[in-house]
Amino acid sequence: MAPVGVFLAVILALGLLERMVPLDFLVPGARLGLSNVVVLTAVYLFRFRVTLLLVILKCALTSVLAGGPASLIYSASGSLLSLAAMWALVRRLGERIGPVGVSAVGAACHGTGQVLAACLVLENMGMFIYLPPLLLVSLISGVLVGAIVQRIVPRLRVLDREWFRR
Amino acid sequence: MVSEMKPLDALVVAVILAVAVGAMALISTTRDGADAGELYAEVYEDGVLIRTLPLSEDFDDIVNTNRGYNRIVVEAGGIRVAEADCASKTCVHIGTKRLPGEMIACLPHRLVIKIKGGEAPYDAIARESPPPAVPATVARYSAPKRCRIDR
Repeated sequence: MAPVGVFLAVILALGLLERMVPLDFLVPGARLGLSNVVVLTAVYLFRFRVTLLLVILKCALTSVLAGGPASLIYSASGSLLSLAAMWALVRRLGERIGPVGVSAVGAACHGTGQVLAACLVLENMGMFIYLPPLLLVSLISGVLVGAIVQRIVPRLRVLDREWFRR
Repeated sequence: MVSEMKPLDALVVAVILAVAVGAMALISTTRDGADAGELYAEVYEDGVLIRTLPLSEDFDDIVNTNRGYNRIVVEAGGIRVAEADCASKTCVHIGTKRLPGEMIACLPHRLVIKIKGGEAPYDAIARESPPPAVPATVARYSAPKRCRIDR
């Protein structure tokens, strides 16, 4: 569980950092998505159970610390859809797709999940109007996140593999 | 950065870019034809219309929802949420909206403000076909006077 704790701490710290860079003026609710650096790194290094635990804890803790209980459904739907897509891409396509592509798809799925949740909660399909600009913003941050992960994963792989599997 | 990308990465990025830009172009062409007549804002809570505010009349009041309040201000033909007791404050940060089709959403309070009015293009499309029988569940989303296709 130690790696989960470390990764979770980094996610929460990045979350605080992100709050200083509001992107609300571009698309309502848009954020940099830096915490996906940690989640995607976990997808490469951890087992599925551990990664899922990390994402669930991330949603729970950020809703307690920042967004309030109402934000849980939006962050959970985005995060879980994004995790499912990224896990499938990494494990199915392996070396054929790099972190940049995986991260771009993950970011797009995160936005789609959130907008979908908003549509259902607000009973207003018009919320989908926000999706295209959100996709565009998330594509830029997604590529950035992917490039960072590409540099992080090889450096962490040299650590004791057992540490990540515990 | 680009040199490290695999062909599949580039393909994925290109596809997402194409979908996003294409959808944005589609939305903007749909919106362009909107002829702004008398504009009004509809305030929905949980998908139910709770208030209709003409944008030509100034308004400044607290709108209470089951989950908290939003102070809605109408001035100079625009509408904005000046204050809210939610955690995210996204609805406040988004600022003033004044064009038909634009929206302000407060996700924590399940509140949506939609600007409508004039002869919106989707109205014209809807009228070409004979008026459909509107089921009761859909009817409560439609505007008070006549059937509209909500965006």
